[in-house]
This record gives sequence, structure tokens and C-alpha cells, in this order.
Amino acid sequence: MSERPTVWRAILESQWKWTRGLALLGALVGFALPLLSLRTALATQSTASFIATMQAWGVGYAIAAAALGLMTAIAAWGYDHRLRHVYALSLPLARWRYVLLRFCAGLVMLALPVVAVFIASEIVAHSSMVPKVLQAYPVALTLRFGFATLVAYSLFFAISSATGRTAGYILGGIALIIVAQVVISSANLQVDLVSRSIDLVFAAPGLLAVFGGRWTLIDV
Amino acid sequence: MSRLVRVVVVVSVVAMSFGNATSAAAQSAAEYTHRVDSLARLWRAATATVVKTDASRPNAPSADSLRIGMIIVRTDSEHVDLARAAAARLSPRIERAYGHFAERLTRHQFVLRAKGGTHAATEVQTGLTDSTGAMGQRSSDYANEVSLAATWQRMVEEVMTDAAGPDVRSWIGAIIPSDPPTKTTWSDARIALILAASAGARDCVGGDIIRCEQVLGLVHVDDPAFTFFDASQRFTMIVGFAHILRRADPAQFDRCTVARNQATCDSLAHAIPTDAVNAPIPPLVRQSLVRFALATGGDGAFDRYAAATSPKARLEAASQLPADSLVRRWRDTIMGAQKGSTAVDLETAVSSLAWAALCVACAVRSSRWR
Repeated sequence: MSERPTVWRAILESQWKWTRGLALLGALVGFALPLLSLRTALATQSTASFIATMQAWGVGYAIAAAALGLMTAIAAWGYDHRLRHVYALSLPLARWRYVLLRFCAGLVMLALPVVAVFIASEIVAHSSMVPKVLQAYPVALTLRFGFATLVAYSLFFAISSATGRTAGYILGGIALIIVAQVVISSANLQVDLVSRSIDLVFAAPGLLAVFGGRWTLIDV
Repeated sequence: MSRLVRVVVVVSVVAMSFGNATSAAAQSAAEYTHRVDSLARLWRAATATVVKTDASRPNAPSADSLRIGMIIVRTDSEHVDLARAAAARLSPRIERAYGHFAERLTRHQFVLRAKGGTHAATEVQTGLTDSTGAMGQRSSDYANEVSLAATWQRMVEEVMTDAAGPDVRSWIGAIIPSDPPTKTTWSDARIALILAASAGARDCVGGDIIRCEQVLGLVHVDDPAFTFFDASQRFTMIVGFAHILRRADPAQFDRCTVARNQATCDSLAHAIPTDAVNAPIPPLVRQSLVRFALATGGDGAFDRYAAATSPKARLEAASQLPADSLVRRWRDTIMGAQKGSTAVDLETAVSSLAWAALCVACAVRSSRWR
């Protein structure tokens, strides 16, 4: 007796087919980052430099989260764009449901690297090689990595799903800020529009605020 | 400059007096009156010169003054309101922090005057005179009460720390802040203690209270280099003193630093004077202990702190606790002030979810298949 697969399962399978390589690569990177950071930090002489080394690796987590979010979002829509949405239109689904299912399928793929970061962080946290006076934050780091990946994925998913005109509006907005800054600077006005815009985005509760702050697995 | 003018005037007067002394006996009353009048004219002119010279000094305080609590301010008339507002803001903090000891502040006067130049409208010059009238801690500041009160608060902290005793600053290595300690104070102290590059500090972090008392300087230690530091930390110290130790005995220095001969390194470490050995903990840690003692002691804590003599006696008097109990409670407090910096705060977490939801909503609302 064979059952018809559900729409969710069909979309998840197609997502797995399209992004499994990326998800597995992300899981590998996520697993390697905590272990590599500990390995390089062990070569340092003092507690302060140990923490500094661990902190330096924090940039790696942020970049990995952003890159994973970007590539998974592009991959989620890549085939649809290439095949001119024939597959999506063949499904007995409203577009909004299709978009939600596609988004959730991408999230499932992203869970793999997040879990990998958590497992590796726990391994490092329970390692006897960490100086006793320091604290490990495996859960906090994994949560930050997870939130950052989610935000990056959502952002690029929305951009990727939009029309060319929408993407044009976004790019035009960024260009407008830069042009306005050039005009303001040439008028000798003391207004830093670009810095303020960046602050708005990266300071809480900005869109990319989760990428700011510390990404240290081992800290004081 | 003004002293020079005064000296010139006095010397002139004395010289004229001596110059006329021979004929003074023979002068008439009219001549005598004329001479006194001319001398008075000369004196008035000289006095005017002195006043003019003083007034032209860049930091000369003007005559207007006001007093709020223990704060006395001399200022020019255009800054009276600003001075009063800043003093009113600062005065309760000072009295809360230093109690009766804050009366020492009346020996000093804050000076506030216009800065002049292109920033005259937005900036002022300020300073604090000592008991001799000389002005120190000069600085420029924004002409608003918050900024000025903060600057004056730093000045007060400097003065009060020094007034508490000459050994206070040298023991702490820093001033005693007047603000009440917060969780950040303990968290910062915890980080400083953990990151201190000494085995003694590490033992203190681990819960050894005797070691805590040693690194805090509450217990005398004969050989700090060997008490506080392990072999590798002493080696780092020896390398730090290379400019002296190498010159004293190059061969011995090389046996330690190149051949890594432990006995030679120990010998070199012994050669470092005990008062030149690095402090096992940064000033922030001792400062936090003083703040903890003052906060624990409550009313009159600073008075008792200033009245005692040694660092240990001061802390015991301020906190009204034995030193070991105080140190234990302080250590438990700072070690409990752990702040997970990697953690995502609630605002960031909620905003991230909200932004993600907004992005998905935008994607869902996109109406066209491309």
C-alpha cells in the first residue's frame, strides 16, 4: 500500500536535493569552528591571550552564519527561478503557502549546521584543555549562531523571492544614502548619514543587531 | 608674575624710604605730607598694576562665589546659574559617599570661568584650588550641568582619595570612586582578577582566601616574586627587566633566558627588588575591595576608613568586619557577578524574530511568479 507524499514532504525532499551539499558543508564548518578555535587558543601563553584568540574566531561564526543564510536562501529559489516557477505552479497550492513551506524547508536544512555548532561547542566546553578559571558558553554561542543564521536566511529569502523591481528598490535605497552622504559632505555639513544608517541596522533592535556583540565560546 | 610685581613695589617703597631717611629728620610738616601723598599715589598705582596683572591671568578666579553643601564655587557672573546647577547635582552624591569627611572639601574651591576663543559659547574652563589657593586639575568642559558635575565629581574623588591618607592611593593604585558600586563594578573586578597574570590571583579566583589577602596586599609578603608568581611568570618578569639584569651580568642573563637554566632564573628573580616586582593584581581589583568595604560599612564608612592607618585596618574599620570575612564576602560577590557576554539579550532575540517574520511576510506578499 503506497501513500501519496504530502506537499510538505515533497517540498522538503526537493529542498534536500537542492541544498544538501550546502547543508552538509555548513555542518562541517560549524563543527570545525569551535574545535579549531580551541586548538589555536591552546598555543597562547596567558589567559588574556587565550580569550583574545577565542574571540578572534568569533568573526568566523558570524561570517559562517551570514554565508549559510545567503546561500540557502538563494538555493531555495534557484531552481524555481531557473525553471520559471513551473514546478511551483504545478503544485495545488496558493503562493503564500508555497512560500511558507519553502521557507520552513530551508530552515530545516539550516538546523544541521546549528546542531553541529552546538555539539562541537559542548565538546570544547567539556574539554579539560580549557583553563579552569574561564567559562564556556556553548548554549549562548549556539543561540547567537542560530538567530544570526535565521535573520540572514530570512532577509535573503525575502530579497530572492521578490521581483527584480523590489531588488532594484533595495539597491536604489542604499545608493540613495551613499549619494546623499556625498552631497552632504560636499556641502560641509557635519552629518554622517552612512554611519547612522549602519548604526540603525547593527544596533539593537536593528535588523542585523544579532551579528554585533561578542561571539566567544570561552570567556571570563 | 604678580609676586614679582609685589616684590618690586615693596622694594621700591623700602628703597624710597631709605633714600629719604637722611633728610627726613629735617623736613617740614608740609614736605612730610607731600612725601606721604606721593608715596600713597605710588602705592595705589602699584596696587592697581597688581590687580590688573592678576585679572589678566588666564585662570584667575573672579570674586563671585557660591556654596552648596560642601561645594564652594568661585565663578564669574555669567556662569553662576551653571555653577549652582552643577553643584546642586553633585552635592548629595558627595555627602552620601564621604559623609562628614566631605567637609574636607571646603578647603578647596571650584573655579569656573569662560573659556574664551571660538568655543566660548559652548565650553568653560574649570579647576580646583587647594588650601594655598593654587589651582590644579584644570580642564575645559562643555557648559552644561551634567558634564560639569561629572568633571567636578572626578576632581572631588582625586581630592578625597588624597585626603584620606598618603598611603591610600599608593596601595590602591587608583582613586576611590564616589558612585555606589554596581553589578558592573563587581563584574569588571572579576574579569580583572581572572585575567591577572599571577599564580596568586589564580588561587584567589579558585577560592583561597589567604591567597586573596596576599595578592590584595593585606598580608605582608617577604618574597613577592616567588609568592605570587610561578616559574613561567617569573621568567616573563625577568625578560621585562632585561635592560637592567642583562647589564648587571650578561652571562647569567643568557643562562636564564637562552639556556633556560631554572636555578639561574631563580637567582635573577631574587635580584629584582621586592618593591619593583610587578603587582599580582591590577588596581581595579583593590579598588573594588575598598568600594565593597565602604558599601558594606554603611553610614560613616568613609570617615572610619580615613581615620585608620594601614590598608587592612582601614578596610576593617570601614566595613566593621574582620579582614578575612570581608575578603571572603568580597570574593563571593565579584565571582558571582558573572556576565555571559556571548548571550543574546532579550531585545536582540525578540527583534531578530520580528525581523525574520517581517522578511517572511514580505516574501509571502510578493504577488507575482517571476
